[in-house]
Amino acid sequence: MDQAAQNVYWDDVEIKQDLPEKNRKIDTTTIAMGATWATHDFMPVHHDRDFAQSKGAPDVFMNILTSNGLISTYLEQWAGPGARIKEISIKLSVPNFPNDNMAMNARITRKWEEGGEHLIELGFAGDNQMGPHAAGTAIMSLPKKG
Amino acid sequence: MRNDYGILRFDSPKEATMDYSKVEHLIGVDSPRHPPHDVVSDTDVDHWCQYMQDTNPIYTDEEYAKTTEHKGLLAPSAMVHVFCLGSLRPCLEQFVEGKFQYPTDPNNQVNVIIEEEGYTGVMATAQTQQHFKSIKVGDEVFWTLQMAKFSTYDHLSRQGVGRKYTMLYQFYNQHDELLCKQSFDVLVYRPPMVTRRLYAG
Repeated sequence: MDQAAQNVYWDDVEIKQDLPEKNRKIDTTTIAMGATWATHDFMPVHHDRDFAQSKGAPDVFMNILTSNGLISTYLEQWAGPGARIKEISIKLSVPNFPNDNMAMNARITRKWEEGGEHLIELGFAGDNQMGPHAAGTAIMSLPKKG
Repeated sequence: MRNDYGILRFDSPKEATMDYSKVEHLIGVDSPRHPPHDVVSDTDVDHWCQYMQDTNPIYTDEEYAKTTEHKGLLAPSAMVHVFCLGSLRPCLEQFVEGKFQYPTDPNNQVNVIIEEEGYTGVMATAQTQQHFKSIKVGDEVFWTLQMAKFSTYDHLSRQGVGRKYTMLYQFYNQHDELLCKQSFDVLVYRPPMVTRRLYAG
């Protein structure tokens, strides 16, 4: 497999470039498996509806590690194996409850070189039907051609 | 009057608000460095990648990973916190029974106090990560944490009357190299009376 072919190169990206949208269905399984199986967050508000309601939430809701993982993966999957996330900052507003969909989008907002690395900054958002679930910025290093 | 978060002060007329001096001495104090419950394993990384739909071969294709500058499999940087979360039993003991694995950690002492004060709702509101070094499969991830900031009085939030705090984590590998600095913002709140009645059972 030619891995190099899958990389996005720093030379080729532009400020204001949009990344293709990716959607994830959010149901109870997505929330419970994300919390327990993928991110080892066994806080019962993320997998036990009765417990979540006893704590004052209407239903189980996605944990922040899963939200961070989905967004980070969305960015890395676009950029390819040669890219690295240097910094990521996420703010959460509306929770991801079951029976929803999260649409992830991002846009390149800066492009520069620093300390021998080729960097871009992206603004991103993960929106569900109630509004923004996660929004923030990330700094990634991308490979350079040649 | 505006507070540090730029919003108006709100004191619940129904319940006495918590006195900040109860937690003041615990804010900004680092915990001791804690060991991981397990090494970074290819199984954990594989579970993460399956769930996140991450097909990056640097995480799951060992043959490919050996040909890169890293000479082996990496773990996704965003996973750093995963390796520091406790195993199942201590985690459930903490969240369900309120028994902490490290009860003398300053942040855990704060957690006990805010639970007693009725702020039983917990919601993470923001996370930042600064990554300094890649995590390799086989690494051990050690961590320290502190509660760096805590609201001095109540906020009125969509969830209920609450307090905000910021946790600062520092993650190290077994060679004492700093992997990542992470901040974690949390809202703890007293669920409104209507919600408490609705789900009282």
